[in-house]
Amino acid sequence: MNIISLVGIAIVACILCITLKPYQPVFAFAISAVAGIYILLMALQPVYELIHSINTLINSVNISSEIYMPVIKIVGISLVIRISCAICKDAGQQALSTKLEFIGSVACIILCFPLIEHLISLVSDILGLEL
Amino acid sequence: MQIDLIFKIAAVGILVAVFNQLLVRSGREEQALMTTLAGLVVVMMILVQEIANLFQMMKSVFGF
Repeated sequence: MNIISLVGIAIVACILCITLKPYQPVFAFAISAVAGIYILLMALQPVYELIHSINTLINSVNISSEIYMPVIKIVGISLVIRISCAICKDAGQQALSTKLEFIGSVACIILCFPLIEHLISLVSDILGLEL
Repeated sequence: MQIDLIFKIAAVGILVAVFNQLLVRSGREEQALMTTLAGLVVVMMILVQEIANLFQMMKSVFGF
């Protein structure tokens, strides 16, 4: 990942967007969306390496993967949702982006739920309760 | 990274804008509309491919 090239892509895309917006707003929107996707694609490679090293770190201390995998998945879901929301807001569709945010939080809660169940069963085991 | 896609979309946009102006000035509004639609379809093809690419990458990175 080269920060300077990412900044360059963003600025060039901004200039092209401003140039095209009065004549063809749809194409300006497409340019901004494609530039955003490029920047993300470039940034995802270091993220992959980071997640890989986190995985090896957690595996070395013997924590089962079903405890921390939901966290990584939720980070991914929120990233996708935020990007899509930003693209919708760029296109001027606030309502769509609000609905998308709602769907994203529902998906995160669904992913969290096994963890909460795990925690509650652990606590009830420790306290000797019958659930 | 094939960064030239951004320039490609910009070029399509500028060409479509110019053709649109020319056709509207010469009194062919419906052909101007058709030009805009064709350019839009081309750009949409590029955009959808890139979005699919991004989501595929995200799936592999975050382990869905």
